[in-house]
Amino acid sequence: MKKLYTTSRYKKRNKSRAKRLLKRRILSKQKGISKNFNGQGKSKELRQEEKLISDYTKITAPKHFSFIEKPEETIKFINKLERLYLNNSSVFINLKDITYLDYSAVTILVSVMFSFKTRNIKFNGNFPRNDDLAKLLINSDFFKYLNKPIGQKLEYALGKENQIFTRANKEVNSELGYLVMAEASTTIWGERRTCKGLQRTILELMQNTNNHADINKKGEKHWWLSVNHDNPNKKVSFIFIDYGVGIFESLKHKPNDNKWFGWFEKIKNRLIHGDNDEIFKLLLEGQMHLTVTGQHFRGKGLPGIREVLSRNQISNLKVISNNVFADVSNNKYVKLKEEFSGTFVTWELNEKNINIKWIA
Amino acid sequence: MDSIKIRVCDFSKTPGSRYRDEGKKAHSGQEFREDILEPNFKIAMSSSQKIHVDLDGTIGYGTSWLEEVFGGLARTYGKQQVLSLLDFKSEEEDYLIDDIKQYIQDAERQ
Repeated sequence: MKKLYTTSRYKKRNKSRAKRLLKRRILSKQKGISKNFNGQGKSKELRQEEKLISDYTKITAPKHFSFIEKPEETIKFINKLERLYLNNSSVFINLKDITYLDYSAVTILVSVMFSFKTRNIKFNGNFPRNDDLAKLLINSDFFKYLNKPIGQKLEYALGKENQIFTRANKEVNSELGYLVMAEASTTIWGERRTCKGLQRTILELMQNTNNHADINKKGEKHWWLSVNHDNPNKKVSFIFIDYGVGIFESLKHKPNDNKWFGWFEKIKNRLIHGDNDEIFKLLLEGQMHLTVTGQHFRGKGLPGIREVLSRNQISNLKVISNNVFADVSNNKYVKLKEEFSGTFVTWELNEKNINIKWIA
Repeated sequence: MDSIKIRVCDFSKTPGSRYRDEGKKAHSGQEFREDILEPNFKIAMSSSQKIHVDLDGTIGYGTSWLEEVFGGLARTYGKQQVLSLLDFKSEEEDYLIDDIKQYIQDAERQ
């Protein structure tokens, strides 16, 4: 035997090495056993999915996924996503078990996916088990862009023009109304018709996002417009969303020289409980504009959109901003438990809405 | 009194934002006022003519566009001058004329 193997220094080193390797072997074996154990009874697809999402934070979408019908659950879901977005964490959205999905939810999924991908944060998700819901998502181009890189652009266009059509931009694009109006009126009346209230609604919302969604700078936030054609029922629904500060936060931050500065003091005598739902009603009815600025309110901003509704140029107007849900068409204003940072507006165009012949 | 006729639809069928910097496809009120309305307004002032603004033939207006065009003109030339020299046609949206007159009335207070 070589003399080296009998030295106490060698023996000591060899013993500790053997201990270390044994420990590693045991751990590795345990890991293997546990891996096989965890995989037992699971399909190959499921095991593949679990492997795929191991790098992601998994979030399950609300089962009844609708911003309009379940605003609080949806805001909770959006807020979770927002926290992960701010932490640059990869997200996997579990859509498998959803039982209801509408266009408001589809627009949220598409817009959130783009927000993550423009910041190069990994974003993934699975298909709903329900085929009709999966089809809705496929038609929106959600899955098409899921695995595609998306650059930082001013404008995005997704979907099909006469089905689900989504556009995003930071600027006011008045030409978009022309295209949207031509398509929507053809679905409803079988020919192109001019719907002036539709254009006003789209313009006011784009202008609001461009001017007020970010407190510090104009044109910082994207707006998202989704146009959804219901051919059998001859109606078209619209979803407009931005992830800005929301209406009330924007009002809170008006500078001293702005005509809206100190608005709360000026209107507080008109309020009963002073919550945002009450304030929002006054705002939409133009009473707040009149009281705070002392000026004519007709047509301006949000009251302008309400006037469009009153003139029957659009239908079924609903707004969610910060902690308020306003079903304007039914005069229902509700204070929400959850706070949405942004503005969500939905409305509808149908056969009964006022329209005139197409501009040549 | 002779009048100068301006049709907004000759400027754009899709008038849009308030300011030029709010969009490349925005057909802004600032652009309409500075490039079309004001030069004609100066001519109208010097030749004692009226300006007849035809608002029909577009797909609709945002309020910021209207306020910037007509309220903006009143901020420069005064509301009396603007109200006396402008008249309007809006058969497709008759309520626009009252709104515009109100924007002119309110303009100086901004």
